[in-house]
Amino acid sequence: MGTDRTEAALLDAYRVRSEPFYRAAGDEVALYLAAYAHRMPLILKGPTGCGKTRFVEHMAWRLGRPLVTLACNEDMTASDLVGRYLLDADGTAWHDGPLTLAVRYGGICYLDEVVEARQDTTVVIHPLTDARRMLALDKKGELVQAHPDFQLVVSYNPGYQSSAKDMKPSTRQRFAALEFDYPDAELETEIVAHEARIERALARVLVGIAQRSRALKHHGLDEGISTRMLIYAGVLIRDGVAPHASCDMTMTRALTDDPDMAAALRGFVDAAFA
Amino acid sequence: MMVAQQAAPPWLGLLLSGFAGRSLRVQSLSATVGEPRPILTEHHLLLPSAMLDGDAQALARAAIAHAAAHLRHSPSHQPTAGLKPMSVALVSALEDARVERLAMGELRGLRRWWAPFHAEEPREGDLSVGGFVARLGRVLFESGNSSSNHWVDKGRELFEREAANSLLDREAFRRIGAILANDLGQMRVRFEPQQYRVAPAYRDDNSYLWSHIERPEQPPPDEHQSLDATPQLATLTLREVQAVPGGSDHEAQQEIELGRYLVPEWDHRSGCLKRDWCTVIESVPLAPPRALADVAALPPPLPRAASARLNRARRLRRQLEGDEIDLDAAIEVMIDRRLGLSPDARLFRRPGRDAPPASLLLLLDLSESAGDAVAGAACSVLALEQEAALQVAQTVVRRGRGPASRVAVHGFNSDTRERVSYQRLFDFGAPFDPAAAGRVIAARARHSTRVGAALRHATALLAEEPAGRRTLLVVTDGAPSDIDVFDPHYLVEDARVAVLEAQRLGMQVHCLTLDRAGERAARRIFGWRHYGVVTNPAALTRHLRHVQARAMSA
Repeated sequence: MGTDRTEAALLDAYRVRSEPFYRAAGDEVALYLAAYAHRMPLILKGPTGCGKTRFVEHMAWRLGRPLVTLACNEDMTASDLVGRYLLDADGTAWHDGPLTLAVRYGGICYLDEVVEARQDTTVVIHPLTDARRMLALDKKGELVQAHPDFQLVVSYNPGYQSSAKDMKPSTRQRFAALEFDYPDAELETEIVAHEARIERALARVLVGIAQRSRALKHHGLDEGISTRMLIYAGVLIRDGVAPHASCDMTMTRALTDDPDMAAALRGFVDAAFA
Repeated sequence: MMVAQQAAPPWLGLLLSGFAGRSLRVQSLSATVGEPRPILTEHHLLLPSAMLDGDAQALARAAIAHAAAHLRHSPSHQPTAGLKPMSVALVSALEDARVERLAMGELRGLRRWWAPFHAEEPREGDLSVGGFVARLGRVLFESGNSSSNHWVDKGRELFEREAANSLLDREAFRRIGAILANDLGQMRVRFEPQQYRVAPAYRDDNSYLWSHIERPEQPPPDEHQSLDATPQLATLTLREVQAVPGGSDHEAQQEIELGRYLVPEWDHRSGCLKRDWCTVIESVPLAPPRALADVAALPPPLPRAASARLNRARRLRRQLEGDEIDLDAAIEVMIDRRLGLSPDARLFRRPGRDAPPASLLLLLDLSESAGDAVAGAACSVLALEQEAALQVAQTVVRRGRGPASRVAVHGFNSDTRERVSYQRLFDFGAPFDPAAAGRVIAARARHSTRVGAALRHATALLAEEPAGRRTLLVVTDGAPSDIDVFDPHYLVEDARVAVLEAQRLGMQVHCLTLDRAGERAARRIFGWRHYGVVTNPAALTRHLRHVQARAMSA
C-alpha cells in the first residue's frame, strides 16, 4: 500500500487550492452538481475561450475533487491516457497515466478538446462511461474499478473542427452535454472587468469590439474574439499599453492573418476608442 | 443610369457586417452623373467607385460607419405621406445627426472618423437648401459650434433641447424637421431636388429611410445575386461530345486530339451556371525533334525535399518514446547496465503510420503572354514554367514516397469558349523519360487564358485519382481573359466558382502567379492563403517545390 499512498499524494497535486473566479451565465452550476451526484459523464460544448475550462476548475474546487486536465492532440495515444511500462533499475515498472490516476483515486478527469485525439484513442474511455465504470489496463492485465468520486468531463468545440474530426456517435452518446457560449454583454463586461482588474467602462468597450467581431463568424473568421482575449487586452491596457496596440496584439493579430479581416477588426478597435 | 458592378474591397463589407451585426454587402457604384452619394438598402451599401480608391478609404470607412448607424438606429421605408420634398430633406438631415450622436455615444472613435469631412465650412453665400442644411449639419456634429445664422441657431437649439431629453424619440425630431422646413419656406428658399446633395459626402442619400408612394420600394439592385453568396452549383458535368472534324492541318501535325468535352461556365451577372458552355479540347502535343534535343540539357533532379516522408507501414522499433517497450532493446539495456555501460535510451516501440496517397496536378497557363521574355533572364516565362514543372515531376516520380505519390503536368489556353485547349503534357503514373520531358517542353504559348473551363476539366481528371490528398496547382502569368469576354470580372468569378467546386470535392487548389498585377484576381479566385505571387520568375522552381512539398506531406 506504500506506493498507493505516494500515488494518492501525486493526485493531490491536482487539487484546486483557491476558488477560481467563475460567473454563472445560467443554471449550469446546478446542472453540473446534479450530474455529478450520479457521476454522469459530461461534454462541455462551446467556442474557444468562453470559459469551459474555468467552469470545470470552479466545479472541481466546489466539490473538493482533484482535477486532472489533459489537452488532447492528434498524436496522443491510449498509453498517454492510461499509462505504460517504463524501465527502472529493477526491470520494468508500470506507471499510471493521468486518466488512471483519476480513476483510481477519485478525481475529475477533464479531456480538453477531445475530438483532437484520434478515435481509436478515445474508445478506451468507453467502459468508464457506462454502468461498468471501469478501466482496462490491457498491457498490465489489470481491471481498475473507478473510485466512487471519479467523473469524466470532456470539452469540445463544435465551431471550427473540420467534419473529418468529430466524435463517434458511440462515444458521444455516453455523455450528457452542457452548452456554453460567450456570456451576454452585461455579464461579459463584469467578467472582463473583474479578471483584468479594469474599469467597467473600458471592459464594456472591449466587449463591444468582441461582439462586432462575432458577427463576422461566418465571413472568414472561424471564431470571434473570445472572453479570454478581452481579458488579455484589458490586462495590457491596465499596465499602460496603448489601447490600440494592446487590441492589435491580443485580438487582431492573434485572430487572423487575412489582411481584409485584420483591417475590419482594426476598424472596430479604432471606432471604439476616442 | 447607375449600375452596381464590382465588389468593393472585402474589408469594407466585413466592417459593415460587424457594425450592423448582420451580413451585408458593400458594392461599388459607378456613376455617370455629378457627385454621387452612397446608397443604403436592406442588404447592400453601394459606394461610389471614387470612394474605393486607395487614398479615399477614410471616406469609405466614414460611409460604412454612417450606414451602420442608420441600420442600427433608423427605421427603414417610412412613408413620406404629407411631407413636402423639403421636409423630407430636413427630417433626413436631422435623422443623420441623431443616429450619428447615438453611434458616437457607443463608439468613441467615430467622431475622429467623421470629423475631417465636417471641417470644411459651407460657402457663406450659398443660400440654397443644401447650403443651409450643410451649415446646420455642421453645428449639430460639433455640438459646441454656434452659427451667425438665425435659422441654423434655431435648428441647433431645438435639436439640442430634444437631444438633452432623449435621442430615441424619433417623432420629436421629425416635428423639428417639419418646423425648420416650414421656416425655410417662409424665407423663400426654394428646394431644387436636382441640385440637392446630402452633405458631407460620406452620408448616404437617405433613400433607405423613405418609402415614396409613387415609387414603390425597389428591389435591391442585384437581389438575385445576393440570395446566396455561394451559388447553387450544378453537378460537374463532363460530357464527351462527338469529335468535330476541324482544326487546321497545321495544328493537327503538332498534337493529337484525345477528345472534346463540354463544361459549364458561371455567369456572375445572371447568377447562373451556363450548362455545356465551353468546349474543352483535350490533346497531347507531339514532341518535335528540337524539343528532344533540349531534353539532354535537363536540369539535374532536386535534392530530396526536407518534408519527404517515408512509407512507414510497419512498427517503429527503438524509439525514444512509444507505447510499449521494445523487448530486444530492453534486454540490451539490462545487459549494458550489468556491464556498467551507459544504455541506449531508445527502447520503445510505436506503430508507424502509412501516409495517404497524394496526387498533384500542375496546370500551366500556356497563353500568348507566357511566351514573353522574362525581364532579367534570357528565356520566356513559358520556359521557366516548363523547367519548374519538369523539376517537380522528376522529383516526385523518381524519389517520391513510392507508389503513393503521383504527379501530372497539364497545360491550357483558350481561343473563345468554343476552343479551350487542354494539353495533357505529362500524365499521372507515366514514367519520367526523355519522351515525357519532350512533351512538356514542346508546349507552345498562344491564345488566351480561360482558366475556369480548364480548372473544371482538371478537377474532373483529378477526381479520378485515388482518394487522399489531391492538389491542383495552377501556374499563371496574369489574370484570366479571353477574346469573347469583355467584362473583366466575368472570368474571375467563373474561375472562383470552379475553385469552390473543386474544394467541395475535397481538393486543395493553389495558384502561383508570375504577375504582381494579377494578384487581385488570384486572390479573388483562389482565396487568401491559396495563392502566391512570384515576382522573381527565376525563383519559380523554388516556390513550386515549396508548394509541392507542402501539398504532398500529410
